[in-house]
Amino acid sequence: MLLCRSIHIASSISKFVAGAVLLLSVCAAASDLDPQVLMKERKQNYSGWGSSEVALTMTLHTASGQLSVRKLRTQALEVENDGDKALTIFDEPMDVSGVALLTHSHITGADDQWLFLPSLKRTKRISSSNKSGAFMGSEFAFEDMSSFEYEKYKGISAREEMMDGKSVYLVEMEPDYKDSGYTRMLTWLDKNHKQPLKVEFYDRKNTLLKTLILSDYRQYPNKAWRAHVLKMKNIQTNKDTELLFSNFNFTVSLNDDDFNKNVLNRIR
Amino acid sequence: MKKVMFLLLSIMASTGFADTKTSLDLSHRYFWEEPAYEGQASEQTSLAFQTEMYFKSSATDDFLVNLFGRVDSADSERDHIDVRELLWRHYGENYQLDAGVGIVYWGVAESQRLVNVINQRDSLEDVLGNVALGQPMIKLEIPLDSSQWEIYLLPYFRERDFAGEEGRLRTPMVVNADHARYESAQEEQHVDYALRYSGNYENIDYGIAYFEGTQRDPTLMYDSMLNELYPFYSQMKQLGMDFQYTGDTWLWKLEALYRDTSNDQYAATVFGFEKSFYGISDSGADIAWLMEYNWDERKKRSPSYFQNDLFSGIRWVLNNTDGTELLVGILYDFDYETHFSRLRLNSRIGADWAVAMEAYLFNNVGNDDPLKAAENDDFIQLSLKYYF
Repeated sequence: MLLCRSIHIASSISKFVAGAVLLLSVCAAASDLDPQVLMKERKQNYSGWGSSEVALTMTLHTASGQLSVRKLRTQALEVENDGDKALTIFDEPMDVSGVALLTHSHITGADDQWLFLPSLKRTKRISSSNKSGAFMGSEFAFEDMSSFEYEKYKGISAREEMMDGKSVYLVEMEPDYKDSGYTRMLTWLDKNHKQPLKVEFYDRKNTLLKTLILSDYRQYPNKAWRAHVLKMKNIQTNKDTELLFSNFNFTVSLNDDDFNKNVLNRIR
Repeated sequence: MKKVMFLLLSIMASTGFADTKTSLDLSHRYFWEEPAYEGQASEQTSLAFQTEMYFKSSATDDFLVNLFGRVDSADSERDHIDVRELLWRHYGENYQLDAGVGIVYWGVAESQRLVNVINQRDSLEDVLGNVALGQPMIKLEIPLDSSQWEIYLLPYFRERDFAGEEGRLRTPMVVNADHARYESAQEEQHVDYALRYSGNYENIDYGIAYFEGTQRDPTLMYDSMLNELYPFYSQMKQLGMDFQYTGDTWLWKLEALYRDTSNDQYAATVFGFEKSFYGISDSGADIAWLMEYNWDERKKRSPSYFQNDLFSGIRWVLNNTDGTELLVGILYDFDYETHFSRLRLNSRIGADWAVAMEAYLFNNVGNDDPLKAAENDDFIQLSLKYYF
């Protein structure tokens, strides 16, 4: 904005048409700092992967220093003009081994979710409105685990900022969906791939609740960027959860049929 | 059967691709009321195992083996092993074919398993029918866009087991399962079949199924010569449906059936809701409130516990590291005024252990209620489970 204003003064001094053209182009470049545009680019640089498979390890640390580990696998399918589909299979802890969660997320309206309970061989449709609930007792809420859809957020502001000696974009956004546990989020996006390096989550009372640090970004052959280490720290309780992604596979070529609810009773 | 299983297990073991999960469950039940019938025990300790093996033999085929067994200190009839699953699964282009022994679950309700008829119930494990015995089957599944067809051929019938003389939760007279009789001359060889169409459309999940064959629930008959009860298995035709509407915090559920047997034609239903309250405390616990009404057209003639009963329950999920959960449910019978309550508290301990506390309470049991026989069988059970 500052840059745009100074050019504006410069161009008002010069009476040349070329100056006006310069003004327009520079202002257009500066308006790239439209939060909505950055959020869209963030989604674009995450997309184009078709389908994927990945292993997740979640380590929960309590304030007293205890550890608890969860292991899961996720298969996902990119859906054009709608939210992605995901199938998550739980491996650890052992008492939930074989439990699976199928999600058909939607840009507008509630997501469809089915839970498979292996002891009964039962598939149960569940409500997806528990967005703010803890995912497996961790510091990640269900809404933190779902894929980023820019249409589900309202961009509030965007500006450049320094973070760890590096220039980044700071984007403030508000959840534009029902039942979120947050009033707003501050996201620090890498200037190159526009993926978040850090996120601050503000609770319903607008006080800082959690900080997420994302690192070890790698770009896969299909151009999609992925972070491999996510550290979520709850500022209010001092508990934290580390989430590691490993063995990303973008060559699985899954399709719609792999995400029907009937696949739940045969997953492994 | 044993030979086939041994062969299969050795193939799996030798290939080294088998992925195995096993659990051991040590539990103790204490019945604090005087037993109603002579010989019944008040303390019951048992050890159960369950082992599941999975083997992927090719890109389009896999094998699944799931074995269960229990040894019981008090009731020798409760010593049992069961092949829960022994399944070869083939994944075709537009179909899936399963052959072997399997478990199938139909339905949406929480208080009873009304339309769920493929498997016999393991009544030694759970009197309410939540645990299934493995059913020999050939199953063809044809998935469509957001629905599917299932066709079942069930070549062999599994008889129900009953608690022995020393066991609690039994009929006044012990049932001799070895003397089972059948309406069909083919007895357990009668080939049953079933057809089901199910799917989902927006917030609705639905299923409609037809079953023809041996009725899973026996009628208990008295043999005056031997002075014992024996199970009688009649033939039946059943049309059943299940339906769920999933709202934001409300789940609305309905199961209904029409059953036609040689001596009875009747309808039965269970319907109700599950209402969730999320994040009720600072620690993020969830509570669900469940209510379901159960009805059977035969009313007092029905051998079911659920002929005119209201179920009300609470599920409290702590969302803590150990996944602690509490379930409390009460079934109130309008015909007999019986209160049947269940309570279950379970939690993990670390990664490989789990503990559970369970209690059954039978209060104000009406004289003609099928639950009458269990009136003195209130119990509390503690169990410790280890997974490896």
